[in-house]
Amino acid sequence: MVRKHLSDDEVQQYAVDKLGCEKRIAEHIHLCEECRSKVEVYQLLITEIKQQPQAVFDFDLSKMVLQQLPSPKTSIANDNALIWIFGFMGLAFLGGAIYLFISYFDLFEGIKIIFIYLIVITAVTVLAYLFIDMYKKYKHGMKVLDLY
Amino acid sequence: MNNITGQNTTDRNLVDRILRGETNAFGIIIKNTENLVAKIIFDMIATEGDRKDIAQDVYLKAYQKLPGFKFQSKLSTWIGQICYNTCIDHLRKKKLVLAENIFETETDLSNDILDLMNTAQGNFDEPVDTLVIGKNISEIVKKKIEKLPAIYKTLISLYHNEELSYDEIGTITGLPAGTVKSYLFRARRELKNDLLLNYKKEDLW
Repeated sequence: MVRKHLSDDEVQQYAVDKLGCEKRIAEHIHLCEECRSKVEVYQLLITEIKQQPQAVFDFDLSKMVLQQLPSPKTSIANDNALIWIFGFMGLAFLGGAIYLFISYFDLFEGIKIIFIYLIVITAVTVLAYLFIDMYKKYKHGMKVLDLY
Repeated sequence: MNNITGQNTTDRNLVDRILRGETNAFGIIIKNTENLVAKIIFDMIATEGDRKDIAQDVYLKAYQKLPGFKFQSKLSTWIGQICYNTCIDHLRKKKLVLAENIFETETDLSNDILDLMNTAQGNFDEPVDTLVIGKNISEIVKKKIEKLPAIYKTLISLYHNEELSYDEIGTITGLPAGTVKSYLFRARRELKNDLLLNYKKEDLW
């Protein structure tokens, strides 16, 4: 047993966390009435602290904050779908235009089919690249405007 | 440990939903953490009008910073940290004192207790001691807590009401866990001394 009385910190430690306390502190408190009464004062104090009224906002914080948030952004999956749809439509339009051009104006008469494919593929690649770049810039711009 | 993991999974799930554009999921986070935020704000900010603005500001900041949240702590602790820092910024802007000497408030409290005792004596014929002790310990503790410097008040609330660990409080306040513990000891000691200032130990039971 410790002959000297416990320090205030040790008394508090016991009052706050009896189970996590050092064994010698627990033993001393068991035997020493003076230190035990100090513990009881702290325990009363802690009980009073815990019983203090809870702080509560008198307004609907959730509603107020949600109203100020930017509108939900389109999900990435939807963005990809949009790119594919636009890409497909662009290709279909381009293919149709080329078909009409060849059929009605015989523009590519005499040119080997392989060159036509080459021209078409190059044109489609460049257009797709420009489109994607433009779309990215648009998204970035929207993010900046949206502060998100 | 399981609780921590479970909490983390819930946090991740909520954050993922918000980052996918489901802003309503942020409402769940607000509901889950509103009590903690209210506690910090009420302890640190005295003006009611400012409390409202700060509360909104805390969550708007949290929303903007959410993509950068690394799950190194609980989401509630992270929001508590944003809240605490927002309050500190506010106090700095207003040039208010965060942690003046804790012992400066002692005289004020003694006067408050005397006031309470006089009021009680004026209104009733019962012995002052019985009346005051029976009814007003809670009131006295409340008054004393209100007079504590903001930082001590916040630590007391976070530890005893929110039941956060020293480490979690340290994360929120940016103080080392040892300092948190030491401040808590000081704050409780001061509250206890004030109780004993007017009452004998045996009168408290």
